[in-house]
Amino acid sequence: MLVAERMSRQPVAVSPDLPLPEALRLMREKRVRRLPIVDESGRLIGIVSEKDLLYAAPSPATTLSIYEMQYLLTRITVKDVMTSDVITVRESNTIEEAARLMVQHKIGGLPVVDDAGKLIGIITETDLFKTFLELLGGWEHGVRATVLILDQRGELCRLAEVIAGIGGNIVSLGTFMGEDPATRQILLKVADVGIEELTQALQPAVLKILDIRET
Amino acid sequence: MLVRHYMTPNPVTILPTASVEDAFYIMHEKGVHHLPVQDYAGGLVGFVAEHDLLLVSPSPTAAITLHEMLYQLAQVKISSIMSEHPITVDADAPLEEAARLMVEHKLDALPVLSQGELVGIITETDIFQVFLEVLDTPVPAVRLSMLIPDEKGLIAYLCRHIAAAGGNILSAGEFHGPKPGTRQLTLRIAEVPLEQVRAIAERAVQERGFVLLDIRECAPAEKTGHAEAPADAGPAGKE
Repeated sequence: MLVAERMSRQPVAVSPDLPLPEALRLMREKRVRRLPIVDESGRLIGIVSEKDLLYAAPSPATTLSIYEMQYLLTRITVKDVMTSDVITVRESNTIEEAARLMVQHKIGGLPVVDDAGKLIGIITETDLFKTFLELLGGWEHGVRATVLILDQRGELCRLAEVIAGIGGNIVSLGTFMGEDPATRQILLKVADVGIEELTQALQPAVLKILDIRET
Repeated sequence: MLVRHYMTPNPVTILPTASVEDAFYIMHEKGVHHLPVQDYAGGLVGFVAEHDLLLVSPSPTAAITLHEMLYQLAQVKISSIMSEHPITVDADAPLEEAARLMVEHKLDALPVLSQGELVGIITETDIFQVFLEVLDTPVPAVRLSMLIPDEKGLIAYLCRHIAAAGGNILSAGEFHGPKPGTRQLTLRIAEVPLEQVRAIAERAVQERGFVLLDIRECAPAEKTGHAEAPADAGPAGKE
């Protein structure tokens, strides 16, 4: 699963000279929370978020008159408030690398650039969220089971064999760290089997069934 | 994998009679971006996000005086700008239900209820942390992504060959493939060299109709320095 498979291509991008009110209007119109800023050659030079823009509007605590404020606002352009030290990813990065960057830097979206620094896409938390939902089987129907297994070679294999043995189809699968480093939590969604049948088959193959339910 | 395991319990809340100014202050003070709104009886009556506060703050282009602006911020009550009847999630709901609600309703946080009482708050960031956990590895590993044909027992088939080669599957994740109805599997495998994993993958392609999407080496999170580089510091993720 790579960034290329989940990013939006041809993102809404703006030039550094766009005045703030225009940028805000564009964001509302296009329903985006951030705008990458590119130069004439399409090279990424900065990014602004809706929050940057809203906070950049002069604080009501300033001692400016309303005339001064309005004048100031039309003079401020996105380049005055943009972040120029942009965290970016490549198309070839894995989605978990993109997710890690977002968490580490507390940002909701990453521009995707090519080798020349040209903007080719954007990947947002929402894109990753949808991917994560796939992993959690959020879009699938079947029996959902969370089981605890030993963190050992061949354990996952055994689990998969048991399910195949009763004619189950694993429609979603995710592994998670348990509280104990010696064990691992597996979240499965299995189609084509009943909850009773699956419970019986899993019981001897796992340390513990933490949760099992129909979805 | 239930909401209660990943939420922030006992969240900071605000009264509906508080002002926008109060809410700004509390958010900055506590470092949060969302506040459940609770009445004196402790009932959840609304939900307010930092974003809502910014939108309600008088636009500097509005034709009001500075005095009016300050007055307004202190006068606007949370009850008039909060989301009433916010979307909530039960503490015992599966984590993916919270994630799905956030995607469907374009929300970045949800109040968490248990027996109708507010017990926590879960944000996109909380769910993201779990996401990172899924495909993270404590040791260097080979990361393999394959498209699996729609046939039963194929995950077992692949795992069997990896185990037979002495490989230890550290993590596994199943995602949607590029075309609707297709599925792809991403595995992290330790204790076998990349070339050997590639050979297993190629055999799976020939014998069972898998498609090899990507194969690469990956390192534990703290050490993957190359992905952290900003745009101008060289290629990220390309060796």
